[in-house]
Amino acid sequence: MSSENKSDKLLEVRNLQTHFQVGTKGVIFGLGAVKQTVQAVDGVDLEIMRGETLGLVGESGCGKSTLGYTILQLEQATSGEVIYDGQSLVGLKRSELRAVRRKMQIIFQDPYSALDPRMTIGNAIAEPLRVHEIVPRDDIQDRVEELLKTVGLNPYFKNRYPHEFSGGQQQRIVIARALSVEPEFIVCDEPISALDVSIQAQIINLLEELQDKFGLTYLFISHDLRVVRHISDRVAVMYLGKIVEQADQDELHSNPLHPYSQALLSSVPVWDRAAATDRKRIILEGDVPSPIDPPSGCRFRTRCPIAQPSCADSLPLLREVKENHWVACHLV
Amino acid sequence: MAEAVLEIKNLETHLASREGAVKAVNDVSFTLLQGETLGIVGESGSGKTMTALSIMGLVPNPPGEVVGGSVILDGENLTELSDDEVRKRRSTKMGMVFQDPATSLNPTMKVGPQIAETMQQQLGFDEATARQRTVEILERVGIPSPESRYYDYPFQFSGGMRQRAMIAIALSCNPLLLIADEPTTALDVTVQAQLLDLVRDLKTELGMSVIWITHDLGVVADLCDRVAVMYAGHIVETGSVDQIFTSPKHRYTSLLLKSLPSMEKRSSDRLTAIAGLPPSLANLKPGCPFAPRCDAPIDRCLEENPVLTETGDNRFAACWNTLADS
Repeated sequence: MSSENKSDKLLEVRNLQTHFQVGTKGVIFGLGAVKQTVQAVDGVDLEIMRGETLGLVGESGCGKSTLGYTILQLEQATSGEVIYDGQSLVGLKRSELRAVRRKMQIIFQDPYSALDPRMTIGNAIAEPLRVHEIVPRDDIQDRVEELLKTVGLNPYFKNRYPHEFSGGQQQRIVIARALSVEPEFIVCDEPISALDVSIQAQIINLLEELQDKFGLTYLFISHDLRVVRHISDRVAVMYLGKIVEQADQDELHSNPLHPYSQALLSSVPVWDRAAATDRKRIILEGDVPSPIDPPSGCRFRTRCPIAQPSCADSLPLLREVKENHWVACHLV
Repeated sequence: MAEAVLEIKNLETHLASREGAVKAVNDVSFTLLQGETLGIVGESGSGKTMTALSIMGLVPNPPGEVVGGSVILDGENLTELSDDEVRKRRSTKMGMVFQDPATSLNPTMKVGPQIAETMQQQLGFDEATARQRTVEILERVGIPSPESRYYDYPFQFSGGMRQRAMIAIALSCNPLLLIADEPTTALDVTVQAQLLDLVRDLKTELGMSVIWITHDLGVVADLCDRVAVMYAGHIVETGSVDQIFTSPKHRYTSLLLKSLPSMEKRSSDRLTAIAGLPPSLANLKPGCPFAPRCDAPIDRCLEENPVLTETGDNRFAACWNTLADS
């Protein structure tokens, strides 16, 4: 990756691996037992610049959520580095990590399970203010009301419980809570997938407004390419634990180079009929292989329409083939 | 002129709740022609699933009940038949595919026999014939090695394959009508593309009529001939896919289309969001249910519930202030 002014690069991920042990496979316990590992994130390099939105797309099981959690140290990395604003996070002590945690927050897919059902929403938002001592005790209630207003909710409802709100409102509460610590960086993990279509636009707009207002940096994880296209500056495509392509938004959309990206983009159902007619649909055969036993060499080769026998020999590395456009494919 | 395979007239399905009767399906009428694919679009609470369940005679009771209207399938009014008679027609004339195959397939039974069972019961096939026909259908829906997969349990199938198995069950008795309720929503987009391709082929090959329920307008544009848009238990607009997408008449349809991020034009502007929330179906105020969120309501909208009126060539909208042609 090119070297830039250090203060512009907010997050750097180097060769990150998150593997999960999933028990043993063997006929007799202890004899011939083979440990099985889910290679959820397997050697990822990423950079996110201050103020930008990096979209991370991929289908289920590709490791995108795990990557998000590992960056935030919610999952433990098996190896590799996560460097936030120049500080290495992997292996930090709890007390040191707590200070950094203020700057990094997360918004989850299911807002209801992200909220404690036995806490009023006012208390849910006040809790991080108290824990991190953001404002003096006496000012907490004022700050809670201000945050609710910022996300478009009536502060009058701060004593209500999560179940009394709709899905979209719950997500706003989650966002308010995330903002309470005045973060710099927010991982948005499928933040609108569980919401109705007419509400999704409201939340996307809110996220964009907040980004402008507070200078936030987002890692926007989603399987919905349409939303990612709208909100992201750059996009990274993941498949089976690896990043296969990364480029600026427009570049990736108009010129996807990796066969998986091409197939992914071509399978998005488009209602805009005029645009739909000149897209070539690439249908992939079969299902995604298991992350416990990924194919040798290039992991996509079992479903790739242009795979050659040599693709099984070695892992393709992510290379910059055009300015700011990176692809991991032997045949590009 | 194609014949009508299904005619729904003034269908009313209510659910009992503490706040009173929830009008989940509120005076719904539409027609499905032979060989046609109708997309029913709507968000949660719009009544689309309840409409499908009402057609199939599967409304959970309690708390639900079809309280009025008729469901005329192949000339017979299903609302006038007994449960047993409806069940028979459900197996032979209607095929259903639901969103979550994990709960639709019996997890304790192997996949093959689940499909063969319907044929044995409804069509009177013997075991051997049913098994052979099942293997043929499994192959037709794209399940690899169907002879051995016949003996697999559902947990051994991936999500996409389970949905294919569901489609196989739905097709097993050669139904007139396939009703699919969000069958690809829980699937990855590449798997969805495979399944849509399969359904497209099957439609042409078998001449089936299809009702495809979804919230995804892209899927509707891809697969369907006609669209019915639902909101708060009502049908608010119907028309061909071209008509609906290029010049919607109802303001909800139009606002919904404008609120969707587009793949083709990346705009740096904000999305045009629809303000507010869908209404509570137990406490519907008089007037149009969409009026509180509409961008251009007129006085009449708050007083009188609009009825579906023809606005052009075989297209209808329930709106007092329809959009002019663009």
